[in-house]
Amino acid sequence: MIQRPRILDYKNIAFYSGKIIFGVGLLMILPLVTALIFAEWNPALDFMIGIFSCFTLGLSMQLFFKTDHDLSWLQGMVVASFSWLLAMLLGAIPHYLSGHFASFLDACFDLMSGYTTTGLFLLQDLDHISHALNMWRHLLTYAGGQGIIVIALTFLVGGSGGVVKIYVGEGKDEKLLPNVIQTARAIWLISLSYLVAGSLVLWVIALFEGMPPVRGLLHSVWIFMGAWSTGGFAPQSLNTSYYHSLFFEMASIIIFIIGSFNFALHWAVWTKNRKEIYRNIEIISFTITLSIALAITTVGLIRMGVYPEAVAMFRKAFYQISSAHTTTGFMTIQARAFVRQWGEMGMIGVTMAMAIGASACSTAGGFKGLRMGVIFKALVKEIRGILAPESAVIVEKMHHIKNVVLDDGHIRSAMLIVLSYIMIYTVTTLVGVYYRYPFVESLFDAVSVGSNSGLSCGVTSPAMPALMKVVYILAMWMGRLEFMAIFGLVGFMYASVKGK
Amino acid sequence: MMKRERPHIAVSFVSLLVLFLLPTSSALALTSSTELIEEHKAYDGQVITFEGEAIGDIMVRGDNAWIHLNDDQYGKMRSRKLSGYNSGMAVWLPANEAAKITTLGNYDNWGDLVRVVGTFNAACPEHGGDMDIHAISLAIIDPGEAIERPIETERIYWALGLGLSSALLFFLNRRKSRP
Repeated sequence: MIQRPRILDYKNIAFYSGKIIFGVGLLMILPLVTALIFAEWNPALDFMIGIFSCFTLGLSMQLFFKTDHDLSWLQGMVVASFSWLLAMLLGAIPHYLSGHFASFLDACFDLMSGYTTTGLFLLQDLDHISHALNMWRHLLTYAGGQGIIVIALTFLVGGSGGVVKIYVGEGKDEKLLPNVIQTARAIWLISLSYLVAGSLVLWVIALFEGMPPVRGLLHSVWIFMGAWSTGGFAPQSLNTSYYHSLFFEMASIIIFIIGSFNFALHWAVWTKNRKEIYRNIEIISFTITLSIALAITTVGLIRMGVYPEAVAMFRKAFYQISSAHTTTGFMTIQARAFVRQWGEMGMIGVTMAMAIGASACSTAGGFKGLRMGVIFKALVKEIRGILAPESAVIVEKMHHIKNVVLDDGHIRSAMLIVLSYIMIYTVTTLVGVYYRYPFVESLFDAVSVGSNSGLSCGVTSPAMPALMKVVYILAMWMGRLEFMAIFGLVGFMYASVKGK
Repeated sequence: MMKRERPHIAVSFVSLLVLFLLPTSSALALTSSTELIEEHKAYDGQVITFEGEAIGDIMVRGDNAWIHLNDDQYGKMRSRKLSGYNSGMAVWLPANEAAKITTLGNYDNWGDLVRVVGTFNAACPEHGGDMDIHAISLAIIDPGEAIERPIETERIYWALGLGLSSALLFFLNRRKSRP
């Protein structure tokens, strides 16, 4: 028998969601300050409306549903998934008011894309938007990458034991430190330290490459945010090809690869355990699958004969593949060039890289290196089992922060999530094919949204059907939260209707 | 060395001729960025004419510079009506030619509408495989102008109303939280 949720369940969910919405309002203060500095008065008003809408709703929810009860696992999952939807709707207000979106749905698409660090966008006339809106777009990916729940946990929620359940619901299950609040703060310490150092490096390169100081600084901070969070938003429509700089490309590659690492790995290195980089199963898995995807793409590009010489071909292929594999979405080629220049084999290499993605408990999406490693080890274990005598007990180990003996639980959990991703990729591709987009192109963008990558071959556009936009929003949301929180929300809604 | 320079001189001569003749001739039609991307093989290595709004920055590198020209509806028609994504091309040209641009497109301005003549590269060997135009010369067709953005008073009322409700709710929350 399914039990109908109690009033207390709704109160708890509303109260904690209210705190997260309040946090989204606080985030908008930075773009508001940007608008005031650059005398962008209409965007300043847009952000004031956005901030006060978040405060009004968030504080109302906290006032009317005040509770001292701790969260249950199910409530934590529902808060995580539900508050992401609310954060999307409210965060889209300044976007929509900017006048750069054909509909509120398009603005919501960009918000979900930002929070989930996807990087696809339906914003029109990007090259004429305000600094404030650009700041908001990039801050979204930066905050979304660390997890908007992590932000709320860090600054707004006390140390109650229940918050760990929201934290896990947001797709993060590593505890760097014994306490989840300390873990959330550690994630911020790592991210802010890299923000300062990375932006500075990019700024020096931008100045060296001929950009004016102020715009160079803004672009450096934004590109850092886009790279570190593996988000992929860029301030100009030509994305990172705008800078025409090998050094800028190299710096951005380093940032997005480091950004795609597991926060637990960052913490290990941060606490002087540098050997972890060479031993960690995710890094080994990432290196192998990156090489395979690069090889497939390179063969495709050689066949197409696009690039005049090997160095140029490697530069383009490596940038696009590493961007895809870390699910960043930065591009140094035009979107349609994937179709017109790279051909199907090159696109399949990129699609494969996006589908796999980078590390678990990072800002990246996709299957994740950890799960690829687990599945590969499980395969090895099976083969060893076939070859060994019947009485033999096969033990397979892997190293992720510590040595772990692979058991059926690890394998089942990895397979379940990978299967869920495959289902998202399949359904989203089918919707594209239904609307008569060519299969390979539809697959490319579908995998891009499901894995929160953000590369596009031109399918994603403001002109695509509304239903497709909704499916893409759902795919981004599900891919980012890694399903469990979504299943929790769906189960909770079902129980609300059918429960007794 | 001389052999290398000859094609440049030839392109330069053709470009200047085309620039001179364009206002009265349709001998060399304008090419759009969409055509260049979709039909890149046909245009690769060809001398083309391209028009667009200068946006973003002029990035000077030695004697040359990078500029970006958008040939979408926004820059060319000075239209704020939504008409899809931006589309354009990167242009590599002598820095002194780039210096003719006085207004660049951004939030505050419509950039200068300019015309360039140059060689289109589907995958430029000189610039790491970038798709670009190596222009010899540049002409301003229509100078840029400030974008008018009057303050919308209705939004002031909305911001004030929501601000007051936020303050009230904040006060009530504080009072309720007191032991």
